[in-house]
Amino acid sequence: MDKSSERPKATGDARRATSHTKADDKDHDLIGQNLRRAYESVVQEPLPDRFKDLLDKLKKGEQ
Amino acid sequence: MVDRAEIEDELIANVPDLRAFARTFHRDASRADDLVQEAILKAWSNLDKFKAGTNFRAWLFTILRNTFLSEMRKKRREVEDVDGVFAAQLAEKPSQEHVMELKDFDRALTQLPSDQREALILVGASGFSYEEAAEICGCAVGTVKSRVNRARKRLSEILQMTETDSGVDDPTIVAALGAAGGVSQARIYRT
Repeated sequence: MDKSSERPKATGDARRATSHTKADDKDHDLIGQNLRRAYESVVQEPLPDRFKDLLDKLKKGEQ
Repeated sequence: MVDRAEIEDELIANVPDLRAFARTFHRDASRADDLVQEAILKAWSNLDKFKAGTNFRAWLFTILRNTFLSEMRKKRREVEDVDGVFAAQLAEKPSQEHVMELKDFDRALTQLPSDQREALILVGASGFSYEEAAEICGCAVGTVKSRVNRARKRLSEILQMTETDSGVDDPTIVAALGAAGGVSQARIYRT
C-alpha cells in the first residue's frame, strides 16, 4: 500500500526510515543538511540514565 | 500477532529519535526528556493496542505529539527562551562553500511557527514521508507539504540564503510540489 509497509520493522535498530530513495536527494540541500546535523546531534547523545533506568524497569515488568 | 519482546525492543531503539523529535516541542533538553519519558510510559502501556503491519515508528511519534498537546492544554506553557531547537553545540568547521554556523541554523529554527517546524523536522530529519507526517500530525498531506515549503522559505529568509541554497525556488522542486502522487513527493530536496 504505502512505503511504510516496506520498511524493516522490529529490527532493534534505531536507524530512521531515511531509505535510499529519500536520503540521497536531500544531501544537496543546505537546510536539510543542517537540520539533520542538528537532529543527529541529539540522536547520537548517550542515552541519559533516566531512560536507561526506566527502560530497564519496564523490560523487567515493573512499573 | 505482534511479538511482544520484539516490539519492546523496537520502542527502546527509537528512544534516541524520540528525544530528538521532542526538541520540536521543548527546546530545553530536560523538559523535552520529560515529555519523552511520558510518551514512553504511554506507549509501553498501550503496546498491546498496536496493530501489526502498521507503522510503528509513526505510532510512537504520534503518541509523543499527542502527549505534548494534552500537556499544553493542561499547562499553557509559554514559549521557552533558549538558544536553539537542538541546542546544537557542534563546533565543527563547515565543509560547505556556503558557511553557516550550526548554532545560527538552530536558532533560526526557533523562529518558525511550531507547525512549520514540526513538519520540517518530521519530513526533513526524522525521515518520514509526507503521508506519514500527515498521519502523525492529523492533517492533510497538502498541509504538510505547504508547511514544509513555508518553513524552508522562512528559514532561507532568516538565514539570508540564496534561492538555490534553500532548494525552494528550484524549478525541479516547484514542479515536484505540484505533481500528484505519493512517496515521490518526498524527493522535494533534489536540487
